[in-house]
Amino acid sequence: MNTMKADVVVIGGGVIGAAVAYGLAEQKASVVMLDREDFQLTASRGNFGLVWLQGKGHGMPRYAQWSQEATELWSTFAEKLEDQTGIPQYYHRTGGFEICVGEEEYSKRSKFLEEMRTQSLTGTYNCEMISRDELQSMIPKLPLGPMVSGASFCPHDGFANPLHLLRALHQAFTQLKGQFFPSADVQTIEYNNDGFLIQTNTTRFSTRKLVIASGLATTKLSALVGIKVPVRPQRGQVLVTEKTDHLFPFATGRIRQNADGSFMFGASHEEVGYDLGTTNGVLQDIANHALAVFPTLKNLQLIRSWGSLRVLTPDQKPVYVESQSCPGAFAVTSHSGVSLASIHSSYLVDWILSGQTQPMFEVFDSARFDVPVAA
Amino acid sequence: MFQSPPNVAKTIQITFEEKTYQVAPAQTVAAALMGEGHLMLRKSLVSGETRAAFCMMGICFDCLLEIDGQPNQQSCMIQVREGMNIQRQLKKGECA
Repeated sequence: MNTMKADVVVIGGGVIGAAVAYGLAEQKASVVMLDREDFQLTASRGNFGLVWLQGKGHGMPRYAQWSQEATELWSTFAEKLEDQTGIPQYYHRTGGFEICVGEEEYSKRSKFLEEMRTQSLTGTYNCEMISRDELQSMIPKLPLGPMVSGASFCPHDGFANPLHLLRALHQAFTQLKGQFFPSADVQTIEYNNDGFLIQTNTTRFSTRKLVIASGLATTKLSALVGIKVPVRPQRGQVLVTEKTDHLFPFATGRIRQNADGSFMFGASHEEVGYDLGTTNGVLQDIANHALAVFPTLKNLQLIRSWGSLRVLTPDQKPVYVESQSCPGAFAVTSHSGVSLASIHSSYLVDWILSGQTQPMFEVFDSARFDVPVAA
Repeated sequence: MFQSPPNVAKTIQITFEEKTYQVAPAQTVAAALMGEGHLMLRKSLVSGETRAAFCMMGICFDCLLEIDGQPNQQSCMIQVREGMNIQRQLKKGECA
């Protein structure tokens, strides 16, 4: 069997692995990206496509800041990808809402934003509560439901087309001489003085650096190189309507309208293991929320729905960690692969190639989950 | 190209784009229209390209039609019914 050499091998061809691999290839490293079959609806193919900041990083201010940096990089990142590949990203940084139904949701959201402001590293938090009337004046084409009490608004939030993002990252990676191996099932990883030997069902790879960005398989593969990263699946269901006129130039965490005109509704959270299905009850809840907010959408035909699995760490924050027992092996996982794609292809690549990190980067280490058990 | 099943009485009347057709029961709208020689069912709202039913199993969404006034119906998943009035899907969905 041939052994193929590379500067870096990235295990995972989803939106996180591909962003890292693309960034590495841009830095002129010779990179191999491995992925499994893509007949399963992975998080990269089933997600909602938000490029989102508000609400992220509660309990970890460094992550809030990281998300903000990623958002600030996104426009340039999207333009560069479009120039390189000709694939439009449809990135709109219009600002985003969380729309509150009923007074209780409004006061809860206000309190939450106040907490975010208090713990912020800068003492500021660029997300404001707005009244129902202000909200209505921003979206004149969509009459609000009677129970809508207002919203939080963050001017940095927006959305992109996540499938175009994934395709563009793959195409740009290949254009930059990166080598992609689909249908590659990693069987063993050996570590010795020369680095890593990775054996798949068809090929053997030899590399000094290894990045594990394997979604829900991250726990299993990281364990082979002495990294402990607990991740679990959490299902989200999504509903898509027929295409209609452009009514909603913004997004909420649960409702957005695509460039093509279809509305997407989502943001359910279920602990159902690896079940990718959809359920009537959850889809009804999702539709009911959309109609409580925008009742005039009730005549739109629902065209399709799907279930997809989020990849969550115990605190739902990202993990970026290098192995202590096998230096040169990295694990990268996050729920927010789309929002962070810009920063994953830049700052994270600096860390992998040269160990350069920004201040407080160590908070992303998975060591935070190793709480000593009381004797 | 497509043939209706032989030896099945065409007992159902449907209307497609203002013309009536006698078709066999127990088949989908998409199959019935293909059997009558109609392949182009809709136009893409994005590109304007014509579309024909492709997968015939509810996955591809290329067979969308307006059926009895309801737009964007998946015609490969809906059985023909007596008196059905069917139009090509050429326009956007409309809100209330």
